[in-house]
Amino acid sequence: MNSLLIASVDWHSFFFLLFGLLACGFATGIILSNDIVRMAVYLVGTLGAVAGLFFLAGAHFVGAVQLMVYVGGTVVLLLFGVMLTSQ
Amino acid sequence: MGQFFNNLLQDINAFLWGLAGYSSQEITTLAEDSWIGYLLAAIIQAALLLHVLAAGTVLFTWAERKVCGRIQDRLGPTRVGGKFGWLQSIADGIKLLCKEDLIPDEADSLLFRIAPYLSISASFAALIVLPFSDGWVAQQLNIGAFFILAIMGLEVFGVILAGYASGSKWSLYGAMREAAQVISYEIPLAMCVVVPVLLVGSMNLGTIANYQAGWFTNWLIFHDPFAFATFWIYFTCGIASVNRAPFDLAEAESELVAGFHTEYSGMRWSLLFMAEYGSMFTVSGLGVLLFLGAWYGPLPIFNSWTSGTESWYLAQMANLVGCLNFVLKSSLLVIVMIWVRWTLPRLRIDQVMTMCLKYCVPLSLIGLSGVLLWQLLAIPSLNDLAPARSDLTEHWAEKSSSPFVKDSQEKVDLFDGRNTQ
Repeated sequence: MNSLLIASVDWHSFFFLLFGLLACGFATGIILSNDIVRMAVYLVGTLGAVAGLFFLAGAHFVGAVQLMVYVGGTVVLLLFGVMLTSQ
Repeated sequence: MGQFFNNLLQDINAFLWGLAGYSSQEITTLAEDSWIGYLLAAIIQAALLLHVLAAGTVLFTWAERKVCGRIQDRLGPTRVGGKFGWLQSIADGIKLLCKEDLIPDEADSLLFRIAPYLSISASFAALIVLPFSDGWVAQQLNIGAFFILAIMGLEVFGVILAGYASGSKWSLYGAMREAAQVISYEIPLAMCVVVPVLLVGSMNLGTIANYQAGWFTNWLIFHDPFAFATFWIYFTCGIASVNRAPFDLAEAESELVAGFHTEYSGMRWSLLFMAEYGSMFTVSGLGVLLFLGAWYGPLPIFNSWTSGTESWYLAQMANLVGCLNFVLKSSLLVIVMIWVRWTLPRLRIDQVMTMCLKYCVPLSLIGLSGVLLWQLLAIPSLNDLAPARSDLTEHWAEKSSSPFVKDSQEKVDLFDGRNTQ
């Protein structure tokens, strides 16, 4: 086991890739899903992962606004609308 | 391999020295820019915060039963674990672990399983920026107050999802009520949080807390009568936003069976409850940080130790006392929530909305304008009676340059530096 290899675990890149993959994965989930409520849940995943990217970049305020406005507000209202209409 | 263990030991050593408050120049290896130091720090902080959530739930459930019992003129649990029944929560926990995990046929099973995890993660994430004492915070954000508000808005998502995914009309009614209620109460809650933020001029919870150092007259709740009223509006809206009686319309067991968690059993149900108790503590903790002097006791007994220059041990002792102060004050507020729950009858949903839109929102706006006018006209305030030492209020900025609380921009640079090696 090469100590240099282990010592080069780079958490910043790791979390960047993690949040990036989560955002893309959930976005794919939105496209592939048929159930509108599940789509909304995947959308929360995407927006939350983007908020994670903002926090990782040190833009804490933008990250918190992303959480509050998009994840907290829009999607709750979306679910609200969805549940009152079709299902 | 030997080299690896050597590095590992060096890193752990550096990490421990970093914990002990030594600056990065004094030791050969940095604590947090090495990958293992970073990992260990993250794991330790996460584990400590998880225990706040778990142990808090155990203690508060027990307190809830005891307080409820006394209010209803009975004893509450008395048998499990001796005289006071203090092991009752553990017994309940074991019972919940052993219960069958039921998922109804009608349920959307994926969302049904995700919902409790969403709730508990949001409840846990709010603790990340909650400082327990001077510098004792997992991640010091400059926008701590705003972050906690944003996270508290997320918690409702788990509840709505739980109610929707259960496929039962009782659950759905509960979820819809919760959505309407929480979205409405976020507004006055945020208005009340703005008051201390404007008085101190910072959204950093540590700065707000250190502003209140010294005697109890320095607490922001005593700034003026408007600030005093604002705290109680905050507390009322806080109770509503964590969905506790008399605002627990989402569960309303007399009309909706058990509301959003009707179909839940076992561990999933208890995760939903852990999230509720966790957010009760967070709301109380935020109230204590913003209005009630945070980790400073009513008398400045230990304050002379905290300046951090004389002795590391004294400073840590003062921090420990501060942590106890903070937990004690927050727990007292939680006990008040429990007291309110077992004293007041539940409101109807229209009364809940009236309460928010006709009373809480205008009152919080009046409170905000009143506090601002008080500042503008420079009316004497109780806060000026015994001003805090300036080295205490400026202390937090110095703290944030310790090896454990870093600006994230600096962290990014450290990682980049690591890459080039």
